[in-house]
Amino acid sequence: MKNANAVTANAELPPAVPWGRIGAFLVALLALFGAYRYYQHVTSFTVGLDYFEPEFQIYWMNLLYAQLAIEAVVFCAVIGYLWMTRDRNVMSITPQEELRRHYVLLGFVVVFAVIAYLAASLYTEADAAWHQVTVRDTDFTPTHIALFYFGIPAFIIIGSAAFVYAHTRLPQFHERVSMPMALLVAGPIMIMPNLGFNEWGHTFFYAEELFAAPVHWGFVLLGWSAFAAGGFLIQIITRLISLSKLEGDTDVAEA
Amino acid sequence: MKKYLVAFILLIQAAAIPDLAFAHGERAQQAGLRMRTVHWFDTAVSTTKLNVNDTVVVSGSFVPSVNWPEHMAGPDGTAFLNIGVPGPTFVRVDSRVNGMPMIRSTRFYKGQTYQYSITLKARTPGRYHVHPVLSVKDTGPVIGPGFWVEVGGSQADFQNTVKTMTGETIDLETYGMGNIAFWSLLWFAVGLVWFIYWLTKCPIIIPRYRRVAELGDKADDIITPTDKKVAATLLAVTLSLIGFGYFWAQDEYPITTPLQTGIVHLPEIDVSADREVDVTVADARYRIPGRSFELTLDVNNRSGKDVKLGNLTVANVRFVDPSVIDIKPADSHDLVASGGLRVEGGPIKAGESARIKVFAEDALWETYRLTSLIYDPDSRFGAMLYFYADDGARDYVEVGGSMLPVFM
Amino acid sequence: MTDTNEAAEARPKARSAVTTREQQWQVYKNIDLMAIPLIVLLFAGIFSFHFALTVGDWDYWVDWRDRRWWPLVTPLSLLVLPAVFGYLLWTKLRLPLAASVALLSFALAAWVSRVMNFEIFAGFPLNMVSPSTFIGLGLILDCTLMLTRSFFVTGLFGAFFFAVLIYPINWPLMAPFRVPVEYNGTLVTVADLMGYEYVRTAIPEYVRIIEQSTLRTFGEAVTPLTAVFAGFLAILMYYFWTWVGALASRAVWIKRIF
Repeated sequence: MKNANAVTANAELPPAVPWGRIGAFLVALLALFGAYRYYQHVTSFTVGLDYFEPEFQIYWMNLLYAQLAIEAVVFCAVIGYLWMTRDRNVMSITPQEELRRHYVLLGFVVVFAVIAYLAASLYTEADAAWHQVTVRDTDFTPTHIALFYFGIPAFIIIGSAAFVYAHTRLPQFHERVSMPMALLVAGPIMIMPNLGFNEWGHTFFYAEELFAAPVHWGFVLLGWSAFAAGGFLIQIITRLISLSKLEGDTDVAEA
Repeated sequence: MKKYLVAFILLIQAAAIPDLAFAHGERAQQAGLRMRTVHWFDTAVSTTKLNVNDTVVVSGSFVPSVNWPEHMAGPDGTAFLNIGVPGPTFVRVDSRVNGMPMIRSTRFYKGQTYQYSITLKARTPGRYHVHPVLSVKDTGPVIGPGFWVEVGGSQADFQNTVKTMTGETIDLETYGMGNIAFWSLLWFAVGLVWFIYWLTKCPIIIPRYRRVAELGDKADDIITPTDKKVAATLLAVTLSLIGFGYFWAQDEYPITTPLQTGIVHLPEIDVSADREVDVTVADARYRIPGRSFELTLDVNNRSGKDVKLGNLTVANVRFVDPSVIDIKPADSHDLVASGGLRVEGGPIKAGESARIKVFAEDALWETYRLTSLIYDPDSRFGAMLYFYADDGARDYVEVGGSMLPVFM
Repeated sequence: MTDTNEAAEARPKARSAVTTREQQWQVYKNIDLMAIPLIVLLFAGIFSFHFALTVGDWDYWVDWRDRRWWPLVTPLSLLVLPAVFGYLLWTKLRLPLAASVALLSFALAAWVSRVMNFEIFAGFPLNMVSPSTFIGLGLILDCTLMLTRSFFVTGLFGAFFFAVLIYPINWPLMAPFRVPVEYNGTLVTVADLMGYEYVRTAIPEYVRIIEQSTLRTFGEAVTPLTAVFAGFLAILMYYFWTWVGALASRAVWIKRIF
């Protein structure tokens, strides 16, 4: 045992879930997505119908440029922070600390799931509703700007942050990669390049905006990467079983 | 972060401009495509100001271009007369082409003239740009000229009743909603019973995971007799409810028909009296620096009257010679270049042929993104020419062909 | 890809962070409190996304739910998540909840979306765009799995009836919209009329993929035939996606991705 604290570790109380922080973060997140949604509601059918009108450039393209810049900064800041403050003695943390970090990781995943819901359901179907009642004239429609350049990037940021958090702070993820977690994070990331296929397809061979059309199936395939949540959950649960066992309890293998 | 939030809220407030709405993005299409798909003319709206529940009629004529691009599916496959409004701000109570109701799709043949009318009933207050649209299967929407229409009143007053063939009068805004809500909620409740039954056993994840792992092949032992009883009861309830619901609905709505679809065929109309001028293109050039379109045309006037070219329309932009016909823009987005047409060569006498030179010049080439014609892969144009006699009689003829850009 | 489960063996075993039964129980409760909402949210998100892009318009609009395509396409798409997560929840936790909870979460998300997006944002009357109901079908699948404790039998009967009963379970919601109306001399149903009247600029009439095929007069049994065919495909789909679920539940570790 390298850690000097190890001897007294079991005397410590187990950590609590940081409900306050998770709750506050979720409230802020919902406020942001709610405000965005409100903006979309009041500007889509007014100044969002024609890409070539100057008002579209002011209200939607400027928003697009601003959010892309902010997202890039937030991504670099969050990932940079998590990396710079990584635990260099991750293999010798106390079990209490490891349990606490698991709670934090699960907190990340809860936020990930909230964004998954908002982006994949609410924002995606806003896109469906919009594109079926208006004539599409650009890659940057109000619902595309909201979904692909706000919702999905938010999804990517939180997924990547969870990934980096796990790999810099949890012994189980140290110097190896959880394949299911990598898939979970890769799905939303790959949606961005697939958007290229989508837009190309719409200009090249598919004129309609039918939502279940094959030109959209690339997105479904990437959505399916979330099926790996099962494997990821098993990796977490088996470790938590070990972290919460009493004397006489046995560990449970992952398989 | 706070600063951004404040800026964001200000942006939202600034954006809440109530009655502003724009055109429908028709400018996004390649110029050549817009020129060579559908020629719309005589587009009119019966009123530009109305209240909720009032109707407005959008009417006019169109000719599918004989120069329709080869690489795009034509309107003679499947097409539908549509209307471009932002969502169901209006309901379409009637639409006709050549007098035939257009509830279904149809075929439109290139070069033929079609007269249409679309009756809309205002539903949502606001200011809208209303366009006729021809939706062409595998090609997409071809958008006609638009007009601003302002709707006043309140959506709460909107009514949309219809009489069914079973004798009921129903309001389409709310019809069947009680039914949908009742059955949806009922199934939610039944589903929740099952979910909550399992949640009462919480914590369920780790304890069950451990237990299942420990039991190995005998993991099924974790299931209690109560679990089985609840499952059996719920299965029976589910199947009975499905059966009951189905027969209840059959009883309640004994007369139903499948969804209706299909293609209708249109009667032709005789417009030969309006098409007594023939034109061939001798030369067509687009002078980029001057934003000027120059055509050299050989015109053969078969009609019994002298005619003058007064209007050249490309992609819904009307270039007009005011000395022949006075057309003024109806509103801020009406694409009329009054004085944008100049013709050298004078009137074409009855029964004679003559060569004329036509210049169409206006900033609309630029603002309406027609200058991008030079980026098209086949550099061809299509246009509709309108010739007028002194007594107001009008002949129209489509021209098209190769177009050469002049760069210097 | 290198499986480093061997390396996992070499790792130091975790020591416990708890000392008493109460503390252990608290950890278990914490995990439930985080994981169950997480699962519901993920189901809501993934299911909506998956369903929107595979069924989409067939379920968005009342005038798309025909007898030929809607009852065929819908159950095949609906079965995917219940089968994938059914494997995980049953084999690892013996919880027969995947189908019903997935469909409950999806139904909730669908209602929120139809109200927020199609009614409030795009302006359609809710009766034209409200979701169909599928929760009962999830119960059939889950209860069959509970009672038989067999993926094989659940596929054979549960998945079959899952697909077969999709039309009857929704008939109370749909029947009013199939009442005929004479409109401008044309026979239409109430649903067709709504589709025509409430303008969808980007969905011209011909885009509706409904009532196609040549079997319409085959004893006039269009719906039952479709239902049985859908049931047959659903059995295969259930087995296939359960297998995908087995793959997705593997706790694979790799050495590196870069």
